[in-house]
Amino acid sequence: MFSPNTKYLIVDDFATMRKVVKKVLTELGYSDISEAEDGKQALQLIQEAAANGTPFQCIVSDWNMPNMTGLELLKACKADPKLKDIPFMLVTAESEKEQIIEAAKAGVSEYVVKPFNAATLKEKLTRVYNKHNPAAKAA
Amino acid sequence: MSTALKISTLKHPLFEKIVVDNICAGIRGTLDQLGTFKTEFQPHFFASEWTVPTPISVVLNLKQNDHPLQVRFHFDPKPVIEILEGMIGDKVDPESQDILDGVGEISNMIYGLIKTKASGSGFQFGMSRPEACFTKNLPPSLHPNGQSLVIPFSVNGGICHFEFIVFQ
Repeated sequence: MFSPNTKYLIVDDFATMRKVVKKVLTELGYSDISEAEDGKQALQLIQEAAANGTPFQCIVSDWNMPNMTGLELLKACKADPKLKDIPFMLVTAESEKEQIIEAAKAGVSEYVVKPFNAATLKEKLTRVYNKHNPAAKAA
Repeated sequence: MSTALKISTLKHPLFEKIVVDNICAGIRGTLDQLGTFKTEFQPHFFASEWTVPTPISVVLNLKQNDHPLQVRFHFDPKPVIEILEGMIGDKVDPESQDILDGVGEISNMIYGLIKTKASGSGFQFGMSRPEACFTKNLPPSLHPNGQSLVIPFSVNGGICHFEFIVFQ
């Protein structure tokens, strides 16, 4: 599982959902949690953090947002060699198969449909960690 | 009591029973996942004009095959506060922007499930960002000649409405 000092970025245009995700992450023991209101703001934060040598280690993003959607943010990260390996979860009300396939093709690490509970988010985070750390999973 | 100018059932494909069923399933399915809420539906009705009895509304502007549609949620604040306080673990001020933000997200989740269920029945609706407001500030319709399907429902006794507007 992600270490307790993992640096998270939560991206959602609704403050309520940012609070919900932050609450769950805090209950799971994480405290280094930043927030962004849309994909454009998030991308700026992600790029700045990477340039400063303190990159985000997991991004949890909504899909439907103004200025830049979560899918566009995901694609932007995947297109940047410095950002492409950051674990990226989409947490969204979109649950149709076509959307899930589109996200998978774009390289999403995991997909969570809202509403979700703490146990579901924890399970998904574990899967994301294992996906990005196969050696740890094998051990 | 509704003051809607009720009209006879319209022969509009988006007002079929299966759509009503999908809407109800989306509302109930989402609320069941958000907590233990008693959700009950009243008979739906059709209207060209009606008076919304509750103070909080959410609007989603959509299209289906290039035809404009609009979804509106109208909420009693009491169940909304119960839902939000359960989600975030904090008190919510019914007069604040926090309740509008919260009801926007609740509507986002409900509509997401409705959209999925409707898709399973062959109805493809788009997605849009919900815009929440106090009902007194509801903007006028962007298009003329709207006809509404209205589904009243209660959540822990608080009356709410789902409104689906098609434009001629």
